[in-house]
Amino acid sequence: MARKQHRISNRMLLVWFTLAGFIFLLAPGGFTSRFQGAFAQLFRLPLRMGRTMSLSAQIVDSPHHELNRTQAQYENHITNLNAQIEEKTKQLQIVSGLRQRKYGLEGAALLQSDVISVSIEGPRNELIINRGKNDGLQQGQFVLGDNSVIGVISDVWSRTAKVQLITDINTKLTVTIRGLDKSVWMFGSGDGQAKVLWAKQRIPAGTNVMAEKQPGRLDSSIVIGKVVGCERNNQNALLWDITIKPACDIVMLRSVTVIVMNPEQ
Amino acid sequence: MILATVLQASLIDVISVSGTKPDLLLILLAFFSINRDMDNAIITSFAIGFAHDIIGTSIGPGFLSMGLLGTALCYFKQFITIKTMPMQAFTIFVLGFITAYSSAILSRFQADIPIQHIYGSFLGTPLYSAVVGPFLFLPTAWWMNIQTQRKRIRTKR
Repeated sequence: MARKQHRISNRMLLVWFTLAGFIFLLAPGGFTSRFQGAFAQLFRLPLRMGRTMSLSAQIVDSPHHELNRTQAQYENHITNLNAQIEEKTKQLQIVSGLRQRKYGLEGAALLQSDVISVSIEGPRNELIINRGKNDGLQQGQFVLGDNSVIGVISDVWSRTAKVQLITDINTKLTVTIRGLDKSVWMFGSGDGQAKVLWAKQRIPAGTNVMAEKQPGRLDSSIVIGKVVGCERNNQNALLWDITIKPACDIVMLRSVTVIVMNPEQ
Repeated sequence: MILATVLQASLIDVISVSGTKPDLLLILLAFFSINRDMDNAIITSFAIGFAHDIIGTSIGPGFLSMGLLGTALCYFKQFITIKTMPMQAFTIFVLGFITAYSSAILSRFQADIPIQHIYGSFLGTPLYSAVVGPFLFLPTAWWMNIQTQRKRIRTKR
Protein backbone atom coordinates (compact mmCIF):
# COMPACT_ATOMS: atom_id res chain seq x y z
CA MET A 1 0.00 0.00 0.00
CA ALA A 2 1.38 3.31 -1.03
CA ARG A 3 2.32 5.59 1.85
CA LYS A 4 0.01 8.55 2.11
CA GLN A 5 1.94 11.80 1.87
CA HIS A 6 0.89 14.73 4.03
CA ARG A 7 1.71 17.98 2.35
CA ILE A 8 1.41 21.17 4.34
CA SER A 9 -0.01 24.07 2.38
CA ASN A 10 1.96 27.31 2.10
CA ARG A 11 -0.75 29.19 3.90
CA MET A 12 -0.64 26.80 6.86
CA LEU A 13 3.16 27.00 6.98
CA LEU A 14 2.98 30.78 7.05
CA VAL A 15 0.37 30.75 9.82
CA TRP A 16 2.44 28.39 11.95
CA PHE A 17 5.61 30.40 11.58
CA THR A 18 3.78 33.67 12.28
CA LEU A 19 2.28 32.16 15.40
CA ALA A 20 5.72 30.96 16.48
CA GLY A 21 7.01 34.49 15.87
CA PHE A 22 4.40 36.03 18.15
CA ILE A 23 5.17 33.41 20.82
CA PHE A 24 8.87 34.38 20.61
CA LEU A 25 7.94 38.05 20.71
CA LEU A 26 5.78 37.77 23.81
CA ALA A 27 7.81 35.10 25.61
CA PRO A 28 9.90 36.21 28.63
CA GLY A 29 13.34 37.55 27.70
CA GLY A 30 15.04 35.02 29.97
CA PHE A 31 13.62 32.15 27.91
CA THR A 32 14.43 33.51 24.44
CA SER A 33 17.90 34.69 25.43
CA ARG A 34 18.82 31.03 26.02
CA PHE A 35 18.89 30.56 22.23
CA GLN A 36 21.36 33.42 21.94
CA GLY A 37 23.43 31.93 24.75
CA ALA A 38 23.42 28.53 23.08
CA PHE A 39 24.54 30.05 19.76
CA ALA A 40 27.33 32.05 21.44
CA GLN A 41 28.46 28.95 23.30
CA LEU A 42 28.34 26.69 20.25
CA PHE A 43 30.15 29.06 17.91
CA ARG A 44 32.35 30.86 20.41
CA LEU A 45 35.57 29.80 18.71
CA PRO A 46 34.78 31.14 15.20
CA LEU A 47 33.08 34.18 16.73
CA ARG A 48 36.13 35.03 18.82
CA MET A 49 38.49 34.40 15.91
CA GLY A 50 36.43 36.62 13.65
CA ARG A 51 36.29 39.35 16.27
CA THR A 52 40.04 39.21 16.88
CA MET A 53 40.69 39.52 13.13
CA SER A 54 38.25 42.35 12.79
CA LEU A 55 39.78 44.23 15.76
CA SER A 56 43.28 43.69 14.37
CA ALA A 57 42.18 45.20 11.06
CA GLN A 58 40.72 48.22 12.85
CA ILE A 59 43.87 48.71 14.96
CA VAL A 60 46.02 48.72 11.81
CA ASP A 61 43.82 51.55 10.53
CA SER A 62 44.44 53.61 13.69
CA PRO A 63 48.11 53.24 14.85
CA HIS A 64 47.65 55.49 17.91
CA HIS A 65 44.84 53.35 19.25
CA GLU A 66 46.95 51.36 21.74
CA LEU A 67 48.57 54.54 23.04
CA ASN A 68 45.20 56.26 23.51
CA ARG A 69 43.81 53.17 25.16
CA THR A 70 46.67 52.92 27.66
CA GLN A 71 46.29 56.61 28.44
CA ALA A 72 42.56 56.11 29.06
CA GLN A 73 43.33 53.14 31.33
CA TYR A 74 45.74 55.19 33.45
CA GLU A 75 43.37 58.14 33.61
CA ASN A 76 40.54 55.88 34.75
CA HIS A 77 42.78 54.25 37.33
CA ILE A 78 43.87 57.62 38.74
CA THR A 79 40.26 58.82 38.87
CA ASN A 80 39.26 55.64 40.74
CA LEU A 81 42.09 56.04 43.25
CA ASN A 82 41.20 59.69 43.85
CA ALA A 83 37.58 58.71 44.41
CA GLN A 84 38.64 56.01 46.88
CA ILE A 85 40.87 58.43 48.79
CA GLU A 86 38.05 60.94 48.97
CA GLU A 87 35.60 58.30 50.13
CA LYS A 88 37.96 56.92 52.77
CA THR A 89 38.68 60.39 54.09
CA LYS A 90 34.95 60.95 54.51
CA GLN A 91 34.53 57.60 56.25
CA LEU A 92 37.44 58.31 58.58
CA GLN A 93 35.91 61.61 59.53
CA ILE A 94 32.54 60.01 60.30
CA VAL A 95 33.35 56.65 61.84
CA SER A 96 36.94 56.58 62.92
CA GLY A 97 37.75 53.44 64.86
CA LEU A 98 35.33 51.06 63.14
CA ARG A 99 36.78 48.22 61.08
CA GLN A 100 36.75 49.06 57.41
CA ARG A 101 38.32 47.57 54.33
CA LYS A 102 41.50 49.40 53.50
CA TYR A 103 41.19 49.57 49.74
CA GLY A 104 38.40 49.60 47.20
CA LEU A 105 37.52 46.15 45.76
CA GLU A 106 39.68 44.53 48.44
CA GLY A 107 37.02 41.90 49.09
CA ALA A 108 36.28 41.26 45.45
CA ALA A 109 37.54 38.71 42.97
CA LEU A 110 38.29 40.27 39.62
CA LEU A 111 37.45 37.73 36.95
CA GLN A 112 39.10 38.30 33.58
CA SER A 113 37.01 37.19 30.60
CA ASP A 114 37.22 37.47 26.83
CA VAL A 115 34.61 39.18 24.70
CA ILE A 116 32.93 36.75 22.31
CA SER A 117 30.71 39.21 20.49
CA VAL A 118 29.57 42.81 20.69
CA SER A 119 26.15 44.02 19.70
CA ILE A 120 25.85 47.80 19.82
CA GLU A 121 23.56 48.56 16.92
CA GLY A 122 20.42 50.46 17.69
CA PRO A 123 19.07 50.88 21.19
CA ARG A 124 20.28 47.57 22.64
CA ASN A 125 23.96 47.56 23.54
CA GLU A 126 25.29 44.22 24.77
CA LEU A 127 28.40 42.05 25.02
CA ILE A 128 28.69 38.30 25.28
CA ILE A 129 31.62 37.07 27.38
CA ASN A 130 33.17 33.64 27.86
CA ARG A 131 32.48 33.27 31.59
CA GLY A 132 29.26 32.02 33.13
CA LYS A 133 27.57 30.36 36.07
CA ASN A 134 30.42 27.83 36.35
CA ASP A 135 32.80 30.70 37.09
CA GLY A 136 30.59 32.22 39.79
CA LEU A 137 28.92 34.88 37.69
CA GLN A 138 25.50 36.17 38.71
CA GLN A 139 23.03 38.71 37.38
CA GLY A 140 23.71 42.27 38.49
CA GLN A 141 27.49 41.99 38.86
CA PHE A 142 29.44 44.96 37.56
CA VAL A 143 31.75 44.62 34.56
CA LEU A 144 34.87 46.70 34.04
CA GLY A 145 36.68 47.56 30.84
CA ASP A 146 39.94 49.54 30.89
CA ASN A 147 39.45 50.24 34.64
CA SER A 148 36.00 51.76 34.15
CA VAL A 149 32.48 50.39 34.60
CA ILE A 150 31.07 49.39 31.22
CA GLY A 151 27.96 47.45 32.22
CA VAL A 152 26.17 44.92 34.33
CA ILE A 153 25.67 41.16 33.86
CA SER A 154 22.11 40.72 32.58
CA ASP A 155 21.92 37.03 31.63
CA VAL A 156 24.07 34.14 32.80
CA TRP A 157 24.39 30.73 31.17
CA SER A 158 26.70 27.89 32.14
CA ARG A 159 29.82 29.10 30.31
CA THR A 160 28.80 32.42 28.82
CA ALA A 161 27.10 35.57 30.02
CA LYS A 162 25.50 38.65 28.55
CA VAL A 163 26.59 42.12 29.67
CA GLN A 164 24.10 44.94 29.39
CA LEU A 165 26.24 47.97 28.61
CA ILE A 166 25.82 51.35 30.29
CA THR A 167 24.68 52.77 26.95
CA ASP A 168 21.86 50.22 26.53
CA ILE A 169 18.39 51.76 26.46
CA ASN A 170 17.29 49.60 29.43
CA THR A 171 20.24 50.47 31.68
CA LYS A 172 19.53 52.51 34.80
CA LEU A 173 22.36 53.09 37.29
CA THR A 174 22.96 55.49 40.17
CA VAL A 175 25.97 57.70 39.61
CA THR A 176 27.68 60.60 41.31
CA ILE A 177 28.90 63.68 39.50
CA ARG A 178 31.06 66.34 41.08
CA GLY A 179 28.93 69.46 41.30
CA LEU A 180 25.69 67.63 42.06
CA ASP A 181 25.10 67.20 45.78
CA LYS A 182 23.13 63.92 45.49
CA SER A 183 23.58 60.74 43.50
CA VAL A 184 21.45 60.70 40.34
CA TRP A 185 20.03 58.11 37.93
CA MET A 186 21.92 57.59 34.70
CA PHE A 187 20.01 56.11 31.75
CA GLY A 188 21.51 54.53 28.65
CA SER A 189 20.38 56.39 25.55
CA GLY A 190 21.13 53.67 23.00
CA ASP A 191 23.35 55.80 20.78
CA GLY A 192 26.67 54.97 22.41
CA GLN A 193 26.04 57.45 25.20
CA ALA A 194 24.14 57.77 28.46
CA LYS A 195 22.11 60.58 29.98
CA VAL A 196 21.32 62.10 33.33
CA LEU A 197 18.03 63.95 33.08
CA TRP A 198 16.74 66.88 35.11
CA ALA A 199 19.99 67.79 36.86
CA LYS A 200 19.72 70.91 39.00
CA GLN A 201 23.05 72.39 37.97
CA ARG A 202 25.04 72.81 34.81
CA ILE A 203 28.01 70.46 34.73
CA PRO A 204 31.07 71.38 32.65
CA ALA A 205 32.26 69.02 29.92
CA GLY A 206 35.07 66.69 30.99
CA THR A 207 33.74 66.14 34.52
CA ASN A 208 34.12 62.53 35.65
CA VAL A 209 31.01 60.48 36.32
CA MET A 210 31.39 57.77 38.97
CA ALA A 211 29.27 54.64 39.45
CA GLU A 212 27.91 54.81 42.98
CA LYS A 213 28.90 51.98 45.27
CA GLN A 214 26.25 49.34 45.87
CA PRO A 215 26.49 47.00 48.87
CA GLY A 216 27.26 43.46 47.74
CA ARG A 217 28.07 44.47 44.17
CA LEU A 218 30.49 47.36 44.23
CA ASP A 219 32.20 48.55 47.40
CA SER A 220 33.94 51.52 45.90
CA SER A 221 33.07 54.26 43.41
CA ILE A 222 34.50 53.55 39.97
CA VAL A 223 34.64 55.85 36.98
CA ILE A 224 31.92 55.18 34.42
CA GLY A 225 32.31 58.03 31.96
CA LYS A 226 32.85 61.69 31.26
CA VAL A 227 30.39 64.53 30.73
CA VAL A 228 30.42 65.55 27.06
CA GLY A 229 27.44 67.86 26.98
CA CYS A 230 24.93 69.69 29.14
CA GLU A 231 21.78 71.17 27.65
CA ARG A 232 18.70 72.78 29.11
CA ASN A 233 15.77 70.40 29.56
CA ASN A 234 13.06 70.78 26.91
CA GLN A 235 10.22 70.81 29.43
CA ASN A 236 11.80 72.76 32.27
CA ALA A 237 14.34 75.44 31.45
CA LEU A 238 15.64 75.45 35.04
CA LEU A 239 16.89 71.87 34.77
CA TRP A 240 19.72 70.38 32.72
CA ASP A 241 20.14 67.18 30.70
CA ILE A 242 23.68 65.81 30.93
CA THR A 243 25.16 63.64 28.17
CA ILE A 244 27.79 61.13 29.26
CA LYS A 245 30.31 59.25 27.13
CA PRO A 246 31.75 55.92 28.40
CA ALA A 247 35.26 56.18 29.84
CA CYS A 248 36.63 53.63 27.38
CA ASP A 249 36.12 52.54 23.77
CA ILE A 250 33.81 49.57 24.40
CA VAL A 251 33.81 48.36 20.78
CA MET A 252 37.57 47.81 20.85
CA LEU A 253 37.65 45.79 24.07
CA ARG A 254 38.99 42.26 23.75
CA SER A 255 38.65 41.35 27.41
CA VAL A 256 36.69 42.66 30.36
CA THR A 257 36.78 42.14 34.13
CA VAL A 258 33.79 41.02 36.17
CA ILE A 259 33.64 42.10 39.81
CA VAL A 260 32.60 39.14 41.95
CA MET A 261 32.11 40.60 45.41
CA ASN A 262 32.88 38.45 48.46
CA PRO A 263 33.65 35.22 46.55
CA GLU A 264 33.32 31.93 48.43
CA GLN A 265 36.87 30.84 47.61
CA MET B 1 23.27 30.32 6.37
CA ILE B 2 25.22 29.34 9.48
CA LEU B 3 28.39 30.64 7.83
CA ALA B 4 26.65 33.91 6.98
CA THR B 5 25.37 34.20 10.56
CA VAL B 6 28.81 33.65 12.10
CA LEU B 7 30.42 36.06 9.61
CA GLN B 8 27.76 38.66 10.31
CA ALA B 9 28.36 38.37 14.05
CA SER B 10 32.12 38.61 13.90
CA LEU B 11 34.12 39.31 10.76
CA ILE B 12 31.84 41.76 8.97
CA ASP B 13 33.23 44.65 11.07
CA VAL B 14 36.35 44.52 8.85
CA ILE B 15 34.42 46.14 6.00
CA SER B 16 32.34 48.51 8.12
CA VAL B 17 32.32 52.14 6.99
CA SER B 18 31.92 54.54 9.93
CA GLY B 19 30.00 51.95 11.90
CA THR B 20 27.72 50.92 9.02
CA LYS B 21 28.12 47.36 7.80
CA PRO B 22 26.31 45.25 5.21
CA ASP B 23 23.76 42.71 6.40
CA LEU B 24 24.65 39.33 4.89
CA LEU B 25 21.45 37.78 6.19
CA LEU B 26 19.37 40.46 4.47
CA ILE B 27 21.18 39.71 1.19
CA LEU B 28 20.50 35.98 1.68
CA LEU B 29 16.85 36.73 2.44
CA ALA B 30 16.49 38.66 -0.81
CA PHE B 31 18.34 35.95 -2.74
CA PHE B 32 16.16 33.08 -1.48
CA SER B 33 12.93 35.05 -1.86
CA ILE B 34 13.78 35.93 -5.46
CA ASN B 35 15.18 32.57 -6.55
CA ARG B 36 13.18 29.97 -4.65
CA ASP B 37 9.64 28.67 -4.79
CA MET B 38 7.09 29.64 -2.16
CA ASP B 39 7.62 26.61 0.15
CA ASN B 40 11.36 27.12 0.40
CA ALA B 41 11.05 30.90 0.56
CA ILE B 42 8.78 30.74 3.63
CA ILE B 43 11.04 28.32 5.50
CA THR B 44 14.29 30.10 4.64
CA SER B 45 12.84 33.57 5.34
CA PHE B 46 11.78 32.61 8.85
CA ALA B 47 15.04 30.71 9.43
CA ILE B 48 17.06 33.77 8.35
CA GLY B 49 14.91 35.95 10.63
CA PHE B 50 15.66 33.60 13.52
CA ALA B 51 19.40 33.71 12.75
CA HIS B 52 19.21 37.51 12.61
CA ASP B 53 17.61 37.60 16.07
CA ILE B 54 20.05 35.09 17.54
CA ILE B 55 23.01 37.35 16.80
CA GLY B 56 20.99 40.42 17.72
CA THR B 57 19.54 41.36 21.04
CA SER B 58 16.06 39.85 21.24
CA ILE B 59 14.24 37.00 19.54
CA GLY B 60 10.95 37.70 17.77
CA PRO B 61 11.03 41.01 15.86
CA GLY B 62 13.47 39.88 13.14
CA PHE B 63 11.89 36.43 12.94
CA LEU B 64 8.47 37.92 12.19
CA SER B 65 9.47 40.85 10.01
CA MET B 66 12.03 38.98 7.89
CA GLY B 67 9.81 35.90 7.63
CA LEU B 68 6.74 37.80 6.51
CA LEU B 69 8.55 40.23 4.21
CA GLY B 70 10.62 37.47 2.59
CA THR B 71 7.40 35.59 1.91
CA ALA B 72 5.79 38.75 0.55
CA LEU B 73 8.75 39.34 -1.79
CA CYS B 74 8.47 35.77 -3.06
CA TYR B 75 4.78 36.38 -3.77
CA PHE B 76 5.37 39.70 -5.54
CA LYS B 77 8.11 38.31 -7.79
CA GLN B 78 5.28 36.83 -9.88
CA PHE B 79 4.45 40.38 -10.97
CA ILE B 80 7.91 42.00 -11.01
CA THR B 81 11.02 40.74 -12.79
CA ILE B 82 14.08 41.02 -10.55
CA LYS B 83 16.89 39.90 -12.84
CA THR B 84 19.17 42.90 -13.38
CA MET B 85 21.69 44.03 -10.78
CA PRO B 86 20.18 47.51 -10.25
CA MET B 87 16.79 45.90 -9.69
CA GLN B 88 18.29 43.44 -7.21
CA ALA B 89 20.04 46.30 -5.39
CA PHE B 90 16.81 48.27 -5.22
CA THR B 91 14.95 45.21 -3.90
CA ILE B 92 17.56 44.64 -1.17
CA PHE B 93 17.39 48.31 -0.15
CA VAL B 94 13.58 48.40 0.06
CA LEU B 95 13.45 45.02 1.82
CA GLY B 96 16.13 46.13 4.31
CA PHE B 97 14.41 49.42 5.02
CA ILE B 98 10.98 47.88 5.63
CA THR B 99 12.49 45.02 7.67
CA ALA B 100 14.42 47.41 9.92
CA TYR B 101 11.36 49.62 10.40
CA SER B 102 8.96 46.76 11.14
CA SER B 103 11.52 45.12 13.50
CA ALA B 104 11.79 48.40 15.37
CA ILE B 105 8.03 48.61 15.73
CA LEU B 106 7.80 44.99 16.91
CA SER B 107 10.67 45.57 19.38
CA ARG B 108 8.43 47.98 21.23
CA PHE B 109 6.36 44.99 22.38
CA GLN B 110 9.41 43.83 24.34
CA ALA B 111 10.83 47.11 25.62
CA ASP B 112 9.72 50.70 25.56
CA ILE B 113 12.24 51.88 22.99
CA PRO B 114 11.82 55.32 21.41
CA ILE B 115 11.73 54.71 17.65
CA GLN B 116 14.04 57.66 16.78
CA HIS B 117 16.97 55.75 18.27
CA ILE B 118 16.94 53.30 15.39
CA TYR B 119 16.84 55.71 12.44
CA GLY B 120 20.57 55.23 11.85
CA SER B 121 20.15 51.56 10.94
CA PHE B 122 17.14 52.25 8.68
CA LEU B 123 19.16 53.68 5.81
CA GLY B 124 22.87 52.89 6.29
CA THR B 125 22.70 49.10 6.51
CA PRO B 126 20.15 48.58 3.67
CA LEU B 127 22.11 50.97 1.45
CA TYR B 128 25.44 49.22 2.07
CA SER B 129 23.76 45.81 1.62
CA ALA B 130 22.19 46.99 -1.65
CA VAL B 131 25.62 47.99 -2.98
CA VAL B 132 27.30 44.70 -1.97
CA GLY B 133 24.33 42.34 -2.37
CA PRO B 134 24.03 41.90 -6.17
CA PHE B 135 27.72 40.94 -6.34
CA LEU B 136 27.15 38.23 -3.74
CA PHE B 137 24.12 36.86 -5.61
CA LEU B 138 26.36 35.26 -8.24
CA PRO B 139 28.59 33.15 -5.94
CA THR B 140 25.55 32.22 -3.83
CA ALA B 141 23.66 31.10 -6.94
CA TRP B 142 26.70 29.10 -8.06
CA TRP B 143 27.01 27.43 -4.66
CA MET B 144 23.27 26.71 -4.44
CA ASN B 145 23.39 25.21 -7.91
CA ILE B 146 26.14 22.84 -6.77
CA GLN B 147 24.05 21.85 -3.79
CA THR B 148 21.03 21.18 -6.00
CA GLN B 149 23.08 19.07 -8.39
CA ARG B 150 24.47 16.99 -5.51
CA LYS B 151 20.92 16.42 -4.25
CA ARG B 152 19.84 15.31 -7.73
CA ILE B 153 22.75 12.86 -7.95
CA ARG B 154 21.85 11.44 -4.52
CA THR B 155 18.19 11.12 -5.53
CA LYS B 156 19.16 9.26 -8.73
CA ARG B 157 21.26 6.80 -6.74
